[in-house]
Amino acid sequence: MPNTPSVDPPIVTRDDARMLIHEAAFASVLAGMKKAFPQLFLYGSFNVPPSSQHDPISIPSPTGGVDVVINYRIDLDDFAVDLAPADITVGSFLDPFNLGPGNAAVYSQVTIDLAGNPVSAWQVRVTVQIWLECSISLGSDGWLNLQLLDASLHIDQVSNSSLIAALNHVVHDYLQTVLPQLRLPVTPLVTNQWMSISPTALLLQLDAADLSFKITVQ
Amino acid sequence: MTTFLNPNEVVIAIRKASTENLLTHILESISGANPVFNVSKCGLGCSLSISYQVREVQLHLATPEIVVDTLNLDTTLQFQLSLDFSNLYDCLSSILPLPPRCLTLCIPFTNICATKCLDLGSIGLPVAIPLSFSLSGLYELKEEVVIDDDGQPYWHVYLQIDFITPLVLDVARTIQRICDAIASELPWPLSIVAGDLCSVFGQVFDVLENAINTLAVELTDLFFKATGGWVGIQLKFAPIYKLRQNAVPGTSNPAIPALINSLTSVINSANELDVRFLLMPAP
Repeated sequence: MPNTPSVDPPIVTRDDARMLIHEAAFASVLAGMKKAFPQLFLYGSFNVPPSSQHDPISIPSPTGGVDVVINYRIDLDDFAVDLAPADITVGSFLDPFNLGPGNAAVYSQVTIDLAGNPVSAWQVRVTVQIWLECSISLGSDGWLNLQLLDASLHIDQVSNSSLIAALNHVVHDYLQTVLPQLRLPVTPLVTNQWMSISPTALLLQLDAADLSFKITVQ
Repeated sequence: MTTFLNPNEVVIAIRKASTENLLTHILESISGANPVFNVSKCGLGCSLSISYQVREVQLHLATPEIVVDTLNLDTTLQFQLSLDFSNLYDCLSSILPLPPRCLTLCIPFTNICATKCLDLGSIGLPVAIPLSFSLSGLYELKEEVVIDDDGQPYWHVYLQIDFITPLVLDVARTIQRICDAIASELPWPLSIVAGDLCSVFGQVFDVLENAINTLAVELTDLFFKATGGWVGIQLKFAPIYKLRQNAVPGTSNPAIPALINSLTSVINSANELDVRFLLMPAP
């Protein structure tokens, strides 16, 4: 069975144009975004740019007041994208999701630094590998909808599989509760001096995103 | 044999009708002016610039080439000859024993002086030479990486002429443009006479044009066909489109870093414009 769409002509199957993007090209885009906008992938209370800086976590004392203050820093790096079939392994961590039509999985390595207050008092680093399952669809209103459905963690320092399963369960429940989603306007997607293109259909299939377009020459 | 999408590959295909419409639109918008040279020495100046505008385009795709049925290009060579006699005199006086062009008078026993120079004037001779070309023929797309004015590497996709049907000056059109220019300068009724004269010239030059066409077609055959098709005239000065090599297409300000490798643009066997490249992580 082929693992990517055929690019034998005719390539265009509907409307004026078609774009096929291999899943590895999306990983290249994410790596580029990390270089261009590091603050988007860096979040915490210390050693992060002001735009991503937040207050440390304060744990209250049972007797009143603050018991302990924990500084934290979360950095995402090393990206991969998997479209159906689920067949990408990063390190030893295989994409765990059974991806359905319209679903994609995004991998990232998350480095979490926890520190005392002041930061120099103590510091612990935990490296988490994470696969995120998302649904992607193109609405008839010209918006691209991304929704985070599930997450699966792998922590090198933790060998207890029951603990990992419990953590994954907590994260899954959390995502089901908050349903994090993102909407991006994509019509018209690109406009230059000669033409504008408007996506009309998006299909995720066989390791590739398959976009159809209408072209307006101006 | 079926070909599949490769890892990191992006394939963009545009239908025949849309590509023809788009290419026609792009070619019709080609116009500009470029200086060719501008030199000046000893008061003698000489400059040449060329302005160009595509007047009419009709094309269709026939794999693997773009068949341009009509592509009329109007160009005007602006030749300017100027002579500054004062500068020329100064230049010559350094070689020949000529009397000075400037006279300086001072009041005795003071530092007060006045200099008066003779201005010999200057003349300028502008000559506009309109030339029109018919560039219908067979074209294909080529690409190369070029460092652009902003210092960034870009993939430039441009046309290569593989064969021009009549590789000639469009004599009739050139005469028509010259006559139009003359007629517009002359007062009535001379403008009407100019029109009549031009129509006679046009008939004479039609004969000449046919002869030139015949010669040019034979030369074109010799140039393109006899080489087995490996010779082509690359129109690199007028890229059809540009794609930044070190950024994700469509991103700018700031651009998202990436690396575009192995860009190819062809008219595929279904007469689609078929653009393929590898989108790799930025090094």
